Amino acid sequence: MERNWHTIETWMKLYGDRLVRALTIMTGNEEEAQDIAQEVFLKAYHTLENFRHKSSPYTYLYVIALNMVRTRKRSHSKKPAAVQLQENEYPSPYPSPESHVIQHEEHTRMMRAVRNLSPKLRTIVSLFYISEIPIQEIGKILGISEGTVKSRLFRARNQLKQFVVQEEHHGTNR
Amino acid sequence: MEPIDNRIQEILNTSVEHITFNRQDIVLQKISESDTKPSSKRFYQIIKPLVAVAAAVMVISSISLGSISIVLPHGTIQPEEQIIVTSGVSFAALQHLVQ
Repeated sequence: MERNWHTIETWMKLYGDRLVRALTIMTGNEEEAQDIAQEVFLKAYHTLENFRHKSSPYTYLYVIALNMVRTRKRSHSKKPAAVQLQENEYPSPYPSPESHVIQHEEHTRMMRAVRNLSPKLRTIVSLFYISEIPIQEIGKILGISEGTVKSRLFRARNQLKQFVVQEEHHGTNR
Repeated sequence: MEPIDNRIQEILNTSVEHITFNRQDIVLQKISESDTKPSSKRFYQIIKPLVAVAAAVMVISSISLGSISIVLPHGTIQPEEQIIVTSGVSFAALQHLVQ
């Protein structure tokens, strides 16, 4: 038990931030991401004996998180629609100086672009860009073929590319 | 990774870099709480399934023994009665069949 306690404490330090960021991308809501990450670490503690070291601890945590997101989505779909996500849900990571305001706007717009993606594409984005998991492993995690991963990534990339191109166009006009 | 991927990744990462996992203490506290459950609670957690299994075994045994005790006074057991005994028909049903 003592050993498990230290393992989870170490995992939280090593992977906590990355996991909650990936979950924020996946769910579009930071508070929900924190809730899920908390439950993920608790579940990981109680099921640590099942971890066979065949994958990285982060992948193990991500799989638990993915199942939790799916379960929540199923239970939420039975309830009335939740509160609509607000634009300012992503607080500014920067202090007030003007030079950062433009950058903050860019990030807010990027998060809006991510929220406009379908849940499947958001999951791919969180796995590929935030968690930096290779395509082959993403396929294993999601239980889909490598080709499907590539096709979803292609669609997500295309939608986000439009945002990046627009941003760069804005940048040259400023 | 294509160049566009690097750009997307860069913007995404800077968009979420301010987000940090802030529930470590809550997780550790909940783990401690779950590990220090009262021993009586744990005792009941272990003993409950054992009692359930023991009760099930007793019920099944009494049905089987009851069936045998009804059938045996006949002397010889007919083939159809053997089927009844081994299939674990309830005592009341068996009594009805024998009468």
